[in-house]
Amino acid sequence: MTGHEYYDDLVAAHALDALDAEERRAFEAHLATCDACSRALADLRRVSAGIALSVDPVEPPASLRERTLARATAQPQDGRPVQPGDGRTPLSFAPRPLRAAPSPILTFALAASLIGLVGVSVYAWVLRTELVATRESVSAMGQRMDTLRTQLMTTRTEAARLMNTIGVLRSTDLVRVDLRGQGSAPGATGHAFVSQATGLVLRADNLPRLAANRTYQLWVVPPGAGAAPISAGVFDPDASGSLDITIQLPSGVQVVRAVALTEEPAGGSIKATTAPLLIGAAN
Amino acid sequence: MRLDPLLADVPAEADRQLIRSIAAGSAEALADLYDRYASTVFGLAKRITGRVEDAEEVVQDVFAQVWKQATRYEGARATVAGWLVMLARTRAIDRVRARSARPDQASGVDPDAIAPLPAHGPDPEQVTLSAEDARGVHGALRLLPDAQRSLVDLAYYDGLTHAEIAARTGIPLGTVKTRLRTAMMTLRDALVSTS
Repeated sequence: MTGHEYYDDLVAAHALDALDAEERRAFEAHLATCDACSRALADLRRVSAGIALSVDPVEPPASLRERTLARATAQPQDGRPVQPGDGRTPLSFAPRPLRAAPSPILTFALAASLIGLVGVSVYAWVLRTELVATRESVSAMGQRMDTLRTQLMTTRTEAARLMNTIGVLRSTDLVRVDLRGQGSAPGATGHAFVSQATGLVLRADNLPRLAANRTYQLWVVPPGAGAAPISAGVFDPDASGSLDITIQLPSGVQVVRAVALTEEPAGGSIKATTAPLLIGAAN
Repeated sequence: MRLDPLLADVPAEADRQLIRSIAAGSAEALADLYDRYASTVFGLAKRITGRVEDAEEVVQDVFAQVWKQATRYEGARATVAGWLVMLARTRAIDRVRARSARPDQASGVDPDAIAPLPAHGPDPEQVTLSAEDARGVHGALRLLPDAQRSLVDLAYYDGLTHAEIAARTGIPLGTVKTRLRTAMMTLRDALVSTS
């Protein structure tokens, strides 16, 4: 394929977000100089939104509304730092404008106004002090909320992972795969439990530490002669060389004949580029 | 036909007014927008992530982002519904990729922060889509040959790159590219208005 046809393919894939990072960079560089591709992309973005709008709506749980709105409005808006009384909730204690009282006794009126002015100034100063204190308190609460939110998210993520693990291990179609180390990882061991319905749980130990620009990549091998291994993601073991993961099987994978772990460049590979360090066949 | 309640009359201008009110700091306007589109966003997020809890997170992410970025929304022609669903898709794909790539790394880390290859969807603010366009795409999608539709689904809902689709399906990469392009061109031809 030569010439612009190459980019015609890329523009469609870009609108579907189906380019890998390198292709995306190449295409976006071209896009900056090509009106035809810019126009085509604008149309295809609308197609992409149209596909999204074709999905059936599903009513979310009622409790989600309050959580969503509370979380959204707790954060500052771009270009609008959160400040009490920045316009969204007008301050009700703003001093009223001073007006000269219609009085026949000018000096008295002036004196009264001055006294009023002093009074209002003191009042404004008190309010300002309170405002500063309130802002500090809001800021501290905001930070505390951020911390709690992070902790909650962590806990939720971990709980969800454990529930998934339990779900896999309770499956009736569970298949066990014992993995053995080879090549430069002779001491590595692993056990995987695979359920077509619910996913894959893997525990591996004694994995050698990899260079910073390398990563472990998990592969599942479907049955059939010559079936290509399918990537199930990239993973980093903990400091002791152990790996604990629970994943869903890549979509389309029905039966797993073998499970393998290879060393790949950071970010993973489309196809395995090294011999497995850990591999096992389904029992 | 599920499009009817949502798109029978996409209240484009009313939506844009809501965004302007949100930009001015109105929480009530955000609540109105939520009531109008939460089920759309939730449905899409659930379709992509396959999990209620993830879909709930996506909904929260989307409306948080709307609140945050409404001040920057330049939507003279953009469609709010289009913006919301594109935000939702990007967030949902990021979540799926983060989950499948590093489920063991989650402790102490925001799932959003560990996506190995974040979805770089189109700039949602630039999506202009009329009700007729949406209806056209919806109709054309149902008429796509299965061989094309299934690949669009893998890219759109599973977040796969075309190389990953080729690896997954065993279909040659060149064929994957051609089918995706043909499918997208067919859907583009269903657009009514000009961009």
